[in-house]
Amino acid sequence: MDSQIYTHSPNFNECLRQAEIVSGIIQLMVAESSLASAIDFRRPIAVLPVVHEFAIVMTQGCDLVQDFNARAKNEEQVPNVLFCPLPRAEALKRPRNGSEIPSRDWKRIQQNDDKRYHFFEAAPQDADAANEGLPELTADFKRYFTMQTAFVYRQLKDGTAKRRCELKSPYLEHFSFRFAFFLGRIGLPEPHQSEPA
Amino acid sequence: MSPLDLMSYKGRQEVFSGHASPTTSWKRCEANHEDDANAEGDGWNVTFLLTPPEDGLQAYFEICPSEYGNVRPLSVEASTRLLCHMLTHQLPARGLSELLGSLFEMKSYYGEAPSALTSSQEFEPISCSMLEPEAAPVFPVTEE
Repeated sequence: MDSQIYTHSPNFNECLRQAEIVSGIIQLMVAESSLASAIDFRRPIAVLPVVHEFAIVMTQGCDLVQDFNARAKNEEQVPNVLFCPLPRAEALKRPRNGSEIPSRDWKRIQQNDDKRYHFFEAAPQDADAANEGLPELTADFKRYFTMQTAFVYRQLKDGTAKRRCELKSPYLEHFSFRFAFFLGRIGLPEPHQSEPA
Repeated sequence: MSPLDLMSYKGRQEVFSGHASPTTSWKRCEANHEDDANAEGDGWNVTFLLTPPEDGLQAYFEICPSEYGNVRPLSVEASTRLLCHMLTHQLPARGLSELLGSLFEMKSYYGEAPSALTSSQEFEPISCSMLEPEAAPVFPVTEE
């Protein structure tokens, strides 16, 4: 049965898509112990490869297309791709200190009523380019990272990272808008007060 | 020609175009010290004649591009432009061809500089060691 929400990703040699889910992407980070060395270019640094089981592309689709076409001419327009890590929903739900997350709180997240999180239902096998299916995933809008675009394409070409599936409209726009809304929120010194009745 | 030659030079009075007034005088600003009226300040006081001498009028424009307190009377851009005008006006006619040559060299130099500065080839690679890969950490939902 066709999924209403997902469709499988294109081949590795096609343009990345906005709201495309990839697996196994490796982010290179300067190891915490090397942060001081990283700004003193005479000393060697330690690099920590961080493997994201799943991550979703947040960069605008049109920018990715323009960049992909530019790369065919040895140019680039989007030097870095913005990603949001997608941990398994069950891992996010797992309590840290033994206390259960109240079920009503999780229900708000699962129904995408909590502005910080975005819940993704499991993807069926036929909507996954790897033909495995995806578990329930959750994005935390406070956590995102960027990666050098050329490095992303390199990993997809080498098969280190895999393109899995992408969100269909209007689920793509719903996700993208919620992320933009979260980033654009305005912190107020005090909320509006209401007179007691 | 040394800079000192220029300091004593009073401008090319023989040259007077329709839009650019020659610098009439160029002297130290008076210091803002009440106890010493003769002290010299840090800046230069530049006086431009606003009308051609033959008009019989005495209209001048004076500007002192120095700082008083925390107030800067001119922006850096305007001050630099003014300085260029001042130097050009102070330059004797025999120095103009040399000035023109220098300006062409500066234009050529600064015209090429941005591409050289933004080139990724400028970055020197540094040595690094790769640690063992780690799975990305998971941050469970917490109450805020």
